[in-house]
Amino acid sequence: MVSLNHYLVLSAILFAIGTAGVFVRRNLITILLSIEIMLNAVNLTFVAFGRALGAADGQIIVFFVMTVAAAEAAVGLAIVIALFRHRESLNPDSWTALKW
Amino acid sequence: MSDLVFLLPELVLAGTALVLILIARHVSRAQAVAVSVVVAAMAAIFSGWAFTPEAPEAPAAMTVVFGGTIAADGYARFFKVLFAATLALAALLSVKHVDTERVPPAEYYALLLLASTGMMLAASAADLLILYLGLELMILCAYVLVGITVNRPIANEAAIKYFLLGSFASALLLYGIALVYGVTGATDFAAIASAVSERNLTRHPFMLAGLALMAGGLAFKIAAVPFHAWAPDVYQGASAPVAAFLAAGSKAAGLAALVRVCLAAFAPEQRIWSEMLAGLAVLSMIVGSLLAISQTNMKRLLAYSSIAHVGYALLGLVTGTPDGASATITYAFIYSFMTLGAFGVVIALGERGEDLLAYRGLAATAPVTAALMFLFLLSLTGIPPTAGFVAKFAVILSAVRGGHVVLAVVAVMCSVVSAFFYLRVAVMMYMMEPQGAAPARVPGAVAAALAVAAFVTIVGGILPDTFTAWTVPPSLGKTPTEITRALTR
Repeated sequence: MVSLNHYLVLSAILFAIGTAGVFVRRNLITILLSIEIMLNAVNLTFVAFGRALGAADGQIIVFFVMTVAAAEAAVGLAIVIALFRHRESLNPDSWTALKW
Repeated sequence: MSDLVFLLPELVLAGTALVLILIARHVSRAQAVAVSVVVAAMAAIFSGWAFTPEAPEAPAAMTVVFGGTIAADGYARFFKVLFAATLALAALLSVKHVDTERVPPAEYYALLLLASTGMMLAASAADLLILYLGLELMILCAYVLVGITVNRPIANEAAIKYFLLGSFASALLLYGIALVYGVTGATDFAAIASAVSERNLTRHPFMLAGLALMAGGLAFKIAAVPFHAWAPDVYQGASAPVAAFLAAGSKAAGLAALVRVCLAAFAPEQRIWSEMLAGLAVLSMIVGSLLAISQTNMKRLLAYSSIAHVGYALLGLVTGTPDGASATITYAFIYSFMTLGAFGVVIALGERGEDLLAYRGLAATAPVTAALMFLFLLSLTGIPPTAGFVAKFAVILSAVRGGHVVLAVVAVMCSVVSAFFYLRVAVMMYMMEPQGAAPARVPGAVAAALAVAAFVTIVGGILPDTFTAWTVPPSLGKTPTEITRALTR
Protein backbone atom coordinates (compact mmCIF):
# COMPACT_ATOMS: atom_id res chain seq x y z
CA MET A 1 0.00 0.00 0.00
CA VAL A 2 1.42 3.35 -1.03
CA SER A 3 0.65 5.85 1.70
CA LEU A 4 0.78 9.65 1.81
CA ASN A 5 4.21 9.47 3.43
CA HIS A 6 5.64 7.59 0.46
CA TYR A 7 4.55 10.37 -1.87
CA LEU A 8 5.87 13.04 0.47
CA VAL A 9 9.25 11.36 0.79
CA LEU A 10 9.46 10.89 -2.97
CA SER A 11 8.65 14.55 -3.61
CA ALA A 12 11.14 15.65 -0.97
CA ILE A 13 13.80 13.54 -2.70
CA LEU A 14 12.87 15.00 -6.09
CA PHE A 15 13.01 18.52 -4.63
CA ALA A 16 16.45 17.81 -3.15
CA ILE A 17 17.67 16.45 -6.50
CA GLY A 18 16.43 19.59 -8.23
CA THR A 19 18.07 21.84 -5.62
CA ALA A 20 21.36 19.98 -5.94
CA GLY A 21 21.13 20.27 -9.74
CA VAL A 22 20.72 24.05 -9.58
CA PHE A 23 23.88 24.43 -7.53
CA VAL A 24 26.08 21.65 -8.90
CA ARG A 25 25.49 21.48 -12.66
CA ARG A 26 27.36 23.92 -14.88
CA ASN A 27 25.08 23.99 -17.90
CA LEU A 28 22.24 26.49 -18.16
CA ILE A 29 19.83 24.04 -19.80
CA THR A 30 20.46 21.44 -17.10
CA ILE A 31 19.87 24.09 -14.43
CA LEU A 32 16.56 24.98 -16.10
CA LEU A 33 15.61 21.30 -16.05
CA SER A 34 16.54 21.08 -12.37
CA ILE A 35 14.19 23.96 -11.60
CA GLU A 36 11.44 22.11 -13.46
CA ILE A 37 12.13 19.04 -11.32
CA MET A 38 11.73 21.18 -8.20
CA LEU A 39 8.40 22.54 -9.43
CA ASN A 40 7.14 19.07 -10.31
CA ALA A 41 8.19 17.78 -6.89
CA VAL A 42 5.94 20.48 -5.45
CA ASN A 43 3.15 19.41 -7.82
CA LEU A 44 3.44 15.86 -6.54
CA THR A 45 3.18 17.18 -2.97
CA PHE A 46 0.04 19.12 -3.86
CA VAL A 47 -1.62 16.15 -5.55
CA ALA A 48 -0.73 13.78 -2.71
CA PHE A 49 -2.03 16.17 -0.06
CA GLY A 50 -5.16 16.86 -2.08
CA ARG A 51 -5.88 13.14 -2.31
CA ALA A 52 -5.14 12.57 1.38
CA LEU A 53 -7.38 15.47 2.40
CA GLY A 54 -10.10 14.33 0.03
CA ALA A 55 -10.30 17.80 -1.51
CA ALA A 56 -9.93 18.90 -5.11
CA ASP A 57 -7.89 22.04 -4.25
CA GLY A 58 -4.59 20.23 -4.50
CA GLN A 59 -5.24 19.03 -8.04
CA ILE A 60 -6.56 22.43 -9.15
CA ILE A 61 -3.52 24.26 -7.79
CA VAL A 62 -1.31 21.94 -9.85
CA PHE A 63 -2.88 23.23 -13.07
CA PHE A 64 -1.97 26.78 -12.12
CA VAL A 65 1.56 25.75 -11.19
CA MET A 66 1.98 23.93 -14.50
CA THR A 67 0.89 27.07 -16.37
CA VAL A 68 3.35 29.21 -14.43
CA ALA A 69 6.12 26.63 -15.01
CA ALA A 70 5.46 26.72 -18.75
CA ALA A 71 5.65 30.52 -18.80
CA GLU A 72 8.80 30.38 -16.72
CA ALA A 73 10.42 27.89 -19.11
CA ALA A 74 9.54 30.12 -22.07
CA VAL A 75 11.11 33.18 -20.46
CA GLY A 76 14.15 31.21 -19.28
CA LEU A 77 14.87 29.69 -22.67
CA ALA A 78 14.46 33.09 -24.33
CA ILE A 79 17.06 34.56 -22.00
CA VAL A 80 19.40 31.60 -22.62
CA ILE A 81 19.10 32.09 -26.39
CA ALA A 82 19.89 35.80 -26.04
CA LEU A 83 22.94 34.89 -23.95
CA PHE A 84 24.09 32.20 -26.36
CA ARG A 85 24.13 34.70 -29.23
CA HIS A 86 26.72 36.80 -27.42
CA ARG A 87 29.02 34.01 -26.37
CA GLU A 88 28.74 30.48 -27.73
CA SER A 89 28.70 28.90 -24.29
CA LEU A 90 26.11 27.56 -21.89
CA ASN A 91 28.44 27.55 -18.91
CA PRO A 92 27.23 30.10 -16.36
CA ASP A 93 30.81 30.56 -15.17
CA SER A 94 31.79 32.15 -18.48
CA TRP A 95 29.63 35.17 -17.61
CA THR A 96 31.65 37.34 -15.28
CA ALA A 97 31.07 40.95 -16.33
CA LEU A 98 29.07 41.47 -13.14
CA LYS A 99 30.91 40.46 -9.99
CA TRP A 100 28.76 38.32 -7.71
CA MET B 1 -20.46 40.60 -10.66
CA SER B 2 -20.03 43.31 -8.06
CA ASP B 3 -16.85 41.53 -7.00
CA LEU B 4 -15.27 42.60 -10.29
CA VAL B 5 -15.30 46.21 -9.11
CA PHE B 6 -12.55 45.37 -6.65
CA LEU B 7 -10.36 44.01 -9.43
CA LEU B 8 -10.94 46.98 -11.77
CA PRO B 9 -7.40 48.38 -11.36
CA GLU B 10 -5.85 45.01 -12.27
CA LEU B 11 -8.31 44.45 -15.11
CA VAL B 12 -7.66 47.88 -16.60
CA LEU B 13 -3.89 47.42 -16.44
CA ALA B 14 -3.87 43.88 -17.82
CA GLY B 15 -6.41 44.71 -20.53
CA THR B 16 -4.41 47.71 -21.70
CA ALA B 17 -1.22 45.65 -21.71
CA LEU B 18 -2.81 43.00 -23.92
CA VAL B 19 -4.16 45.63 -26.34
CA LEU B 20 -0.72 47.27 -26.46
CA ILE B 21 0.87 43.94 -27.40
CA LEU B 22 -1.75 43.28 -30.08
CA ILE B 23 -1.26 46.63 -31.82
CA ALA B 24 2.44 46.86 -30.97
CA ARG B 25 3.59 47.74 -34.49
CA HIS B 26 1.42 50.83 -34.68
CA VAL B 27 2.31 52.27 -31.28
CA SER B 28 4.92 55.01 -30.98
CA ARG B 29 6.94 55.64 -27.87
CA ALA B 30 5.04 58.81 -26.98
CA GLN B 31 1.70 57.03 -27.30
CA ALA B 32 2.86 54.12 -25.14
CA VAL B 33 4.06 56.47 -22.37
CA ALA B 34 0.84 58.49 -22.49
CA VAL B 35 -1.30 55.35 -22.35
CA SER B 36 0.71 53.94 -19.43
CA VAL B 37 0.46 57.11 -17.36
CA VAL B 38 -3.26 57.54 -18.07
CA VAL B 39 -3.98 53.91 -17.24
CA ALA B 40 -1.93 54.14 -14.04
CA ALA B 41 -3.98 57.18 -13.02
CA MET B 42 -7.19 55.29 -13.83
CA ALA B 43 -6.04 52.33 -11.75
CA ALA B 44 -5.30 54.63 -8.82
CA ILE B 45 -8.72 56.28 -9.09
CA PHE B 46 -10.50 52.93 -9.38
CA SER B 47 -8.74 51.50 -6.37
CA GLY B 48 -9.69 54.54 -4.31
CA TRP B 49 -13.24 54.51 -5.59
CA ALA B 50 -14.03 50.82 -5.33
CA PHE B 51 -13.33 50.51 -1.65
CA THR B 52 -15.64 52.08 0.85
CA PRO B 53 -13.60 53.66 3.62
CA GLU B 54 -13.64 51.51 6.72
CA ALA B 55 -13.73 52.69 10.27
CA PRO B 56 -10.08 53.00 11.35
CA GLU B 57 -10.73 51.48 14.79
CA ALA B 58 -12.26 48.27 13.42
CA PRO B 59 -10.20 46.85 10.57
CA ALA B 60 -10.51 43.42 12.14
CA ALA B 61 -12.96 41.67 9.86
CA MET B 62 -11.41 40.81 6.54
CA THR B 63 -13.51 41.93 3.60
CA VAL B 64 -12.96 39.27 1.00
CA VAL B 65 -14.39 38.86 -2.48
CA PHE B 66 -14.13 36.11 -5.10
CA GLY B 67 -14.86 33.33 -2.63
CA GLY B 68 -12.28 34.50 -0.13
CA THR B 69 -9.33 34.79 -2.49
CA ILE B 70 -9.05 38.57 -2.91
CA ALA B 71 -9.02 40.95 0.03
CA ALA B 72 -10.82 44.24 -0.44
CA ASP B 73 -9.50 46.32 2.43
CA GLY B 74 -7.70 49.58 3.01
CA TYR B 75 -4.37 47.77 2.92
CA ALA B 76 -4.97 46.53 -0.63
CA ARG B 77 -6.18 49.95 -1.70
CA PHE B 78 -3.12 51.65 -0.27
CA PHE B 79 -0.75 49.35 -2.13
CA LYS B 80 -2.72 49.58 -5.37
CA VAL B 81 -2.37 53.36 -5.31
CA LEU B 82 1.33 53.01 -4.50
CA PHE B 83 1.92 50.57 -7.39
CA ALA B 84 -0.04 52.81 -9.76
CA ALA B 85 2.22 55.71 -8.74
CA THR B 86 5.35 53.56 -9.15
CA LEU B 87 4.15 52.50 -12.58
CA ALA B 88 3.49 56.08 -13.69
CA LEU B 89 6.88 57.30 -12.45
CA ALA B 90 8.73 54.34 -13.99
CA ALA B 91 6.91 54.93 -17.30
CA LEU B 92 8.02 58.57 -17.30
CA LEU B 93 11.58 57.73 -16.28
CA SER B 94 11.90 55.15 -19.10
CA VAL B 95 11.39 57.69 -21.90
CA LYS B 96 15.05 58.31 -22.64
CA HIS B 97 16.18 54.69 -22.39
CA VAL B 98 13.46 53.39 -24.68
CA ASP B 99 14.67 55.85 -27.32
CA THR B 100 18.42 55.45 -26.99
CA GLU B 101 18.52 51.67 -26.51
CA ARG B 102 16.01 50.93 -29.28
CA VAL B 103 13.66 49.00 -27.03
CA PRO B 104 10.31 48.18 -28.72
CA PRO B 105 8.08 50.67 -26.86
CA ALA B 106 4.72 48.86 -26.86
CA GLU B 107 6.20 45.62 -25.49
CA TYR B 108 8.25 47.44 -22.88
CA TYR B 109 5.29 49.38 -21.52
CA ALA B 110 3.01 46.34 -21.72
CA LEU B 111 5.48 44.46 -19.52
CA LEU B 112 5.55 47.35 -17.04
CA LEU B 113 1.74 47.26 -16.90
CA LEU B 114 1.60 43.49 -16.44
CA ALA B 115 4.27 43.56 -13.72
CA SER B 116 2.24 46.21 -11.89
CA THR B 117 -0.86 44.01 -12.24
CA GLY B 118 1.05 41.20 -10.55
CA MET B 119 2.15 43.51 -7.73
CA MET B 120 -1.43 44.64 -7.14
CA LEU B 121 -2.67 41.04 -7.09
CA ALA B 122 0.05 40.04 -4.63
CA ALA B 123 -0.85 42.93 -2.32
CA SER B 124 -4.58 42.14 -2.36
CA ALA B 125 -4.28 38.34 -2.18
CA ALA B 126 -6.16 36.62 0.62
CA ASP B 127 -5.14 33.18 -0.60
CA LEU B 128 -1.69 31.65 -0.96
CA LEU B 129 -2.35 30.60 -4.55
CA ILE B 130 -3.30 34.14 -5.64
CA LEU B 131 -0.28 35.45 -3.76
CA TYR B 132 1.99 33.06 -5.67
CA LEU B 133 0.38 33.86 -9.03
CA GLY B 134 0.62 37.60 -8.43
CA LEU B 135 4.29 37.43 -7.45
CA GLU B 136 5.06 35.15 -10.42
CA LEU B 137 3.32 37.49 -12.86
CA MET B 138 5.40 40.33 -11.47
CA ILE B 139 8.72 38.53 -11.53
CA LEU B 140 8.27 36.86 -14.94
CA CYS B 141 7.73 40.32 -16.44
CA ALA B 142 10.69 41.60 -14.44
CA TYR B 143 13.04 38.94 -15.91
CA VAL B 144 12.12 40.09 -19.42
CA LEU B 145 12.36 43.78 -18.52
CA VAL B 146 15.88 43.28 -17.13
CA GLY B 147 17.04 41.52 -20.30
CA ILE B 148 15.00 43.52 -22.80
CA THR B 149 18.09 45.21 -24.23
CA VAL B 150 19.26 41.99 -25.90
CA ASN B 151 22.26 43.69 -27.51
CA ARG B 152 23.89 44.51 -24.19
CA PRO B 153 25.66 41.38 -22.87
CA ILE B 154 25.65 42.81 -19.35
CA ALA B 155 21.84 43.03 -19.37
CA ASN B 156 21.56 39.41 -20.52
CA GLU B 157 23.90 38.30 -17.79
CA ALA B 158 21.83 40.17 -15.20
CA ALA B 159 18.67 38.61 -16.59
CA ILE B 160 19.93 35.04 -16.39
CA LYS B 161 21.22 35.52 -12.84
CA TYR B 162 17.91 37.04 -11.84
CA PHE B 163 16.01 34.26 -13.59
CA LEU B 164 17.94 31.33 -12.09
CA LEU B 165 17.92 32.61 -8.53
CA GLY B 166 14.35 33.89 -8.88
CA SER B 167 12.91 30.62 -10.14
CA PHE B 168 14.77 28.77 -7.42
CA ALA B 169 13.27 31.08 -4.78
CA SER B 170 9.81 30.71 -6.33
CA ALA B 171 10.12 26.93 -6.07
CA LEU B 172 11.00 27.32 -2.37
CA LEU B 173 7.97 29.55 -1.83
CA LEU B 174 5.73 27.08 -3.62
CA TYR B 175 7.02 24.11 -1.64
CA GLY B 176 6.31 26.07 1.53
CA ILE B 177 2.76 26.73 0.32
CA ALA B 178 2.33 23.02 -0.45
CA LEU B 179 3.42 21.98 3.05
CA VAL B 180 1.17 24.56 4.72
CA TYR B 181 -1.70 23.36 2.53
CA GLY B 182 -1.03 19.79 3.50
CA VAL B 183 -1.10 20.52 7.23
CA THR B 184 -4.03 22.93 7.33
CA GLY B 185 -6.01 21.72 4.31
CA ALA B 186 -6.51 25.31 3.18
CA THR B 187 -4.80 28.00 1.16
CA ASP B 188 -6.82 31.02 2.19
CA PHE B 189 -5.36 33.08 5.02
CA ALA B 190 -8.33 33.10 7.38
CA ALA B 191 -8.78 29.32 7.17
CA ILE B 192 -5.06 28.73 7.74
CA ALA B 193 -5.07 30.97 10.82
CA SER B 194 -8.11 29.29 12.33
CA ALA B 195 -6.89 25.76 11.48
CA VAL B 196 -3.51 26.44 13.08
CA SER B 197 -4.95 27.85 16.28
CA GLU B 198 -7.87 25.41 16.62
CA ARG B 199 -5.96 22.21 15.88
CA ASN B 200 -2.88 23.45 17.72
CA LEU B 201 -0.52 23.04 14.77
CA THR B 202 1.95 25.77 15.73
CA ARG B 203 4.78 23.28 16.31
CA HIS B 204 3.89 20.82 13.54
CA PRO B 205 7.13 20.02 11.66
CA PHE B 206 5.52 20.57 8.24
CA MET B 207 4.19 23.91 9.43
CA LEU B 208 7.65 25.01 10.57
CA ALA B 209 9.29 23.79 7.37
CA GLY B 210 6.57 25.49 5.31
CA LEU B 211 7.08 28.76 7.20
CA ALA B 212 10.84 28.65 6.71
CA LEU B 213 10.53 27.87 2.98
CA MET B 214 7.96 30.63 2.45
CA ALA B 215 10.10 33.10 4.38
CA GLY B 216 13.04 32.21 2.12
CA GLY B 217 10.99 32.65 -1.04
CA LEU B 218 9.59 35.98 0.07
CA ALA B 219 12.96 37.18 1.39
CA PHE B 220 14.29 36.75 -2.14
CA LYS B 221 11.54 39.00 -3.51
CA ILE B 222 12.49 41.79 -1.12
CA ALA B 223 16.26 41.09 -1.45
CA ALA B 224 16.92 40.49 2.24
CA VAL B 225 20.28 38.96 3.22
CA PRO B 226 21.08 36.04 2.68
CA PHE B 227 18.79 36.05 -0.37
CA HIS B 228 20.18 39.31 -1.73
CA ALA B 229 22.92 38.13 -4.13
CA TRP B 230 20.90 38.98 -7.23
CA ALA B 231 20.10 42.60 -6.38
CA PRO B 232 23.43 44.36 -7.06
CA ASP B 233 24.03 42.47 -10.32
CA VAL B 234 20.49 42.97 -11.57
CA TYR B 235 20.34 46.66 -10.70
CA GLN B 236 23.71 47.24 -12.35
CA GLY B 237 22.98 45.17 -15.46
CA ALA B 238 19.42 46.35 -16.08
CA SER B 239 18.86 49.77 -17.55
CA ALA B 240 18.34 52.40 -14.86
CA PRO B 241 14.53 52.83 -15.21
CA VAL B 242 14.00 49.07 -14.91
CA ALA B 243 16.24 49.00 -11.86
CA ALA B 244 14.22 51.87 -10.37
CA PHE B 245 10.97 50.04 -11.06
CA LEU B 246 12.29 46.86 -9.42
CA ALA B 247 13.78 48.66 -6.43
CA ALA B 248 10.54 50.51 -5.72
CA GLY B 249 7.77 48.26 -6.99
CA SER B 250 8.90 44.68 -6.59
CA LYS B 251 10.33 45.39 -3.16
CA ALA B 252 7.08 47.01 -1.99
CA ALA B 253 5.09 44.11 -3.46
CA GLY B 254 7.24 41.58 -1.62
CA LEU B 255 6.85 43.51 1.63
CA ALA B 256 3.09 43.81 1.09
CA ALA B 257 2.79 40.07 0.59
CA LEU B 258 5.07 39.29 3.52
CA VAL B 259 3.22 41.58 5.95
CA ARG B 260 -0.16 40.17 5.00
CA VAL B 261 0.95 36.54 5.12
CA CYS B 262 2.57 37.02 8.53
CA LEU B 263 -0.31 38.91 10.12
CA ALA B 264 -3.33 37.33 8.47
CA ALA B 265 -2.33 33.71 7.85
CA PHE B 266 0.37 32.96 10.40
CA ALA B 267 -0.69 35.15 13.32
CA PRO B 268 -0.60 32.15 15.71
CA GLU B 269 3.02 31.52 14.65
CA GLN B 270 4.09 35.04 15.46
CA ARG B 271 6.92 34.09 17.81
CA ILE B 272 8.55 31.91 15.15
CA TRP B 273 8.42 34.29 12.20
CA SER B 274 9.38 37.23 14.38
CA GLU B 275 12.67 35.52 15.15
CA MET B 276 13.29 34.60 11.52
CA LEU B 277 12.51 38.13 10.34
CA ALA B 278 14.66 39.66 13.08
CA GLY B 279 17.60 37.61 11.77
CA LEU B 280 16.91 38.69 8.19
CA ALA B 281 16.59 42.33 9.29
CA VAL B 282 19.87 42.41 11.23
CA LEU B 283 21.81 40.67 8.45
CA SER B 284 20.30 42.93 5.77
CA MET B 285 21.06 46.13 7.64
CA ILE B 286 24.66 45.19 8.44
CA VAL B 287 25.63 43.53 5.14
CA GLY B 288 23.83 46.15 3.01
CA SER B 289 25.45 49.09 4.81
CA LEU B 290 28.94 47.63 4.93
CA LEU B 291 29.11 46.44 1.33
CA ALA B 292 27.74 49.73 0.01
CA ILE B 293 30.84 51.53 1.28
CA SER B 294 33.20 50.01 -1.28
CA GLN B 295 30.99 50.49 -4.35
CA THR B 296 32.09 52.64 -7.27
CA ASN B 297 28.98 52.21 -9.40
CA MET B 298 25.98 54.33 -8.45
CA LYS B 299 23.39 51.67 -9.35
CA ARG B 300 25.28 49.06 -7.34
CA LEU B 301 25.49 51.44 -4.41
CA LEU B 302 21.73 52.00 -4.57
CA ALA B 303 21.26 48.21 -4.73
CA TYR B 304 23.17 47.66 -1.50
CA SER B 305 21.32 50.61 0.01
CA SER B 306 18.04 48.90 -0.96
CA ILE B 307 19.19 45.76 0.87
CA ALA B 308 19.92 47.80 3.99
CA HIS B 309 16.57 49.59 3.69
CA VAL B 310 14.66 46.33 3.57
CA GLY B 311 16.32 45.50 6.89
CA TYR B 312 14.99 48.72 8.39
CA ALA B 313 11.54 48.14 6.93
CA LEU B 314 11.34 44.66 8.50
CA LEU B 315 11.89 46.15 11.98
CA GLY B 316 8.25 47.16 12.13
CA LEU B 317 6.95 43.76 11.12
CA VAL B 318 9.20 41.96 13.61
CA THR B 319 7.08 43.31 16.47
CA GLY B 320 4.04 41.52 15.01
CA THR B 321 1.63 44.30 16.02
CA PRO B 322 -0.69 46.20 13.65
CA ASP B 323 1.17 49.41 14.56
CA GLY B 324 4.48 47.84 13.61
CA ALA B 325 2.97 46.64 10.33
CA SER B 326 1.81 50.20 9.65
CA ALA B 327 5.37 51.42 10.21
CA THR B 328 6.66 48.85 7.73
CA ILE B 329 4.08 49.88 5.15
CA THR B 330 4.94 53.55 5.65
CA TYR B 331 8.58 52.64 5.11
CA ALA B 332 7.80 50.77 1.89
CA PHE B 333 5.82 53.77 0.62
CA ILE B 334 8.41 56.41 1.41
CA TYR B 335 11.31 54.25 0.31
CA SER B 336 9.63 53.70 -3.08
CA PHE B 337 9.58 57.41 -3.78
CA MET B 338 13.06 58.23 -2.54
CA THR B 339 14.67 55.36 -4.45
CA LEU B 340 12.72 56.28 -7.60
CA GLY B 341 14.05 59.80 -7.12
CA ALA B 342 17.66 58.68 -6.66
CA PHE B 343 17.48 56.41 -9.71
CA GLY B 344 15.76 59.29 -11.52
CA VAL B 345 18.83 61.47 -11.01
CA VAL B 346 21.02 58.62 -12.34
CA ILE B 347 18.74 58.51 -15.41
CA ALA B 348 18.78 62.29 -15.80
CA LEU B 349 22.59 62.29 -15.94
CA GLY B 350 22.62 59.68 -18.71
CA GLU B 351 25.68 57.50 -19.27
CA ARG B 352 27.84 59.26 -16.72
CA GLY B 353 25.19 58.87 -14.00
CA GLU B 354 26.35 55.32 -13.29
CA ASP B 355 29.93 56.17 -12.32
CA LEU B 356 30.30 57.45 -8.80
CA LEU B 357 33.27 59.63 -9.77
CA ALA B 358 31.20 61.45 -12.37
CA TYR B 359 29.30 63.15 -9.56
CA ARG B 360 32.34 65.29 -8.71
CA GLY B 361 31.46 68.94 -8.96
CA LEU B 362 27.97 68.29 -10.23
CA ALA B 363 26.66 71.23 -8.19
CA ALA B 364 28.58 73.63 -10.45
CA THR B 365 27.50 72.17 -13.80
CA ALA B 366 23.94 71.04 -12.98
CA PRO B 367 22.82 72.76 -9.77
CA VAL B 368 19.17 71.61 -9.84
CA THR B 369 20.01 67.95 -10.48
CA ALA B 370 22.64 68.05 -7.75
CA ALA B 371 20.20 69.62 -5.30
CA LEU B 372 17.62 66.91 -6.03
CA MET B 373 20.22 64.19 -5.56
CA PHE B 374 21.24 65.80 -2.28
CA LEU B 375 17.60 65.74 -1.16
CA PHE B 376 17.17 62.04 -1.99
CA LEU B 377 20.49 61.15 -0.35
CA LEU B 378 19.45 62.99 2.83
CA SER B 379 16.19 61.10 2.78
CA LEU B 380 17.90 57.73 2.22
CA THR B 381 20.23 58.50 5.14
CA GLY B 382 17.23 59.43 7.28
CA ILE B 383 18.01 63.03 8.16
CA PRO B 384 15.13 65.38 9.04
CA PRO B 385 13.17 67.15 7.60
CA THR B 386 12.93 64.55 4.81
CA ALA B 387 10.45 61.69 4.58
CA GLY B 388 13.24 59.14 5.08
CA PHE B 389 13.61 60.36 8.66
CA VAL B 390 9.89 59.93 9.37
CA ALA B 391 9.95 56.39 7.97
CA LYS B 392 13.07 55.35 9.88
CA PHE B 393 11.79 56.96 13.06
CA ALA B 394 8.51 55.03 12.81
CA VAL B 395 10.13 51.61 12.41
CA ILE B 396 12.77 52.19 15.10
CA LEU B 397 10.11 53.47 17.49
CA SER B 398 7.94 50.42 16.92
CA ALA B 399 10.95 48.13 17.45
CA VAL B 400 11.71 49.81 20.77
CA ARG B 401 8.07 49.63 21.82
CA GLY B 402 7.99 45.95 20.94
CA GLY B 403 10.98 45.33 23.23
CA HIS B 404 13.51 44.77 20.42
CA VAL B 405 16.03 47.29 21.70
CA VAL B 406 19.02 45.45 20.23
CA LEU B 407 17.48 45.64 16.78
CA ALA B 408 16.90 49.37 17.21
CA VAL B 409 20.52 49.92 18.27
CA VAL B 410 21.78 47.96 15.24
CA ALA B 411 19.51 50.03 13.00
CA VAL B 412 20.83 53.31 14.35
CA MET B 413 24.44 52.17 14.03
CA CYS B 414 23.86 51.05 10.44
CA SER B 415 22.28 54.42 9.70
CA VAL B 416 25.48 56.08 10.87
CA VAL B 417 27.54 53.81 8.60
CA SER B 418 25.19 54.52 5.70
CA ALA B 419 25.55 58.27 6.24
CA PHE B 420 29.20 57.84 5.22
CA PHE B 421 28.54 56.51 1.73
CA TYR B 422 25.45 58.61 1.01
CA LEU B 423 26.97 61.87 2.14
CA ARG B 424 30.27 61.07 0.38
CA VAL B 425 28.36 61.52 -2.87
CA ALA B 426 27.04 64.84 -1.57
CA VAL B 427 30.58 65.93 -0.69
CA MET B 428 31.71 64.96 -4.19
CA MET B 429 28.93 66.99 -5.77
CA TYR B 430 29.43 70.14 -3.72
CA MET B 431 33.08 70.27 -2.70
CA MET B 432 35.07 68.97 -5.66
CA GLU B 433 36.11 70.44 -8.98
CA PRO B 434 33.72 69.74 -11.88
CA GLN B 435 34.67 66.97 -14.30
CA GLY B 436 33.85 67.36 -17.99
CA ALA B 437 31.02 69.29 -19.56
CA ALA B 438 27.58 69.89 -18.13
CA PRO B 439 25.18 66.97 -18.62
CA ALA B 440 22.67 67.12 -21.45
CA ARG B 441 19.23 68.61 -20.91
CA VAL B 442 16.87 66.46 -18.88
CA PRO B 443 13.77 65.30 -20.81
CA GLY B 444 10.50 66.78 -19.58
CA ALA B 445 9.04 63.41 -18.58
CA VAL B 446 12.05 62.55 -16.40
CA ALA B 447 11.92 66.02 -14.83
CA ALA B 448 8.22 65.55 -14.04
CA ALA B 449 8.87 62.19 -12.36
CA LEU B 450 11.73 63.70 -10.35
CA ALA B 451 9.45 66.54 -9.26
CA VAL B 452 6.81 64.10 -7.98
CA ALA B 453 9.40 62.04 -6.09
CA ALA B 454 10.91 65.19 -4.56
CA PHE B 455 7.43 66.45 -3.62
CA VAL B 456 6.61 63.27 -1.71
CA THR B 457 10.04 63.23 -0.06
CA ILE B 458 9.67 66.81 1.21
CA VAL B 459 5.96 66.77 2.12
CA GLY B 460 6.28 63.36 3.78
CA GLY B 461 9.04 64.83 5.94
CA ILE B 462 7.44 68.14 6.88
CA LEU B 463 3.85 66.92 7.26
CA PRO B 464 4.29 63.24 8.13
CA ASP B 465 0.56 62.69 8.74
CA THR B 466 -0.30 63.36 5.10
CA PHE B 467 0.71 59.88 4.02
CA THR B 468 0.85 57.85 7.22
CA ALA B 469 -2.92 58.32 7.60
CA TRP B 470 -3.44 55.92 4.69
CA THR B 471 -1.15 53.20 5.90
CA VAL B 472 -3.64 50.87 7.52
CA PRO B 473 -2.46 47.41 8.56
CA PRO B 474 -3.95 44.42 6.71
CA SER B 475 -7.32 43.25 7.91
CA LEU B 476 -7.19 39.99 9.76
CA GLY B 477 -9.27 36.88 9.38
CA LYS B 478 -10.07 36.95 13.06
CA THR B 479 -10.15 39.77 15.55
CA PRO B 480 -6.88 40.27 17.42
CA THR B 481 -8.50 39.22 20.72
CA GLU B 482 -9.60 35.90 19.25
CA ILE B 483 -6.06 35.24 18.09
CA THR B 484 -4.57 36.11 21.48
CA ARG B 485 -7.08 33.80 23.10
CA ALA B 486 -6.08 31.01 20.76
CA LEU B 487 -2.43 31.68 21.54
CA THR B 488 -2.82 31.56 25.29
CA ARG B 489 -4.97 28.44 25.22
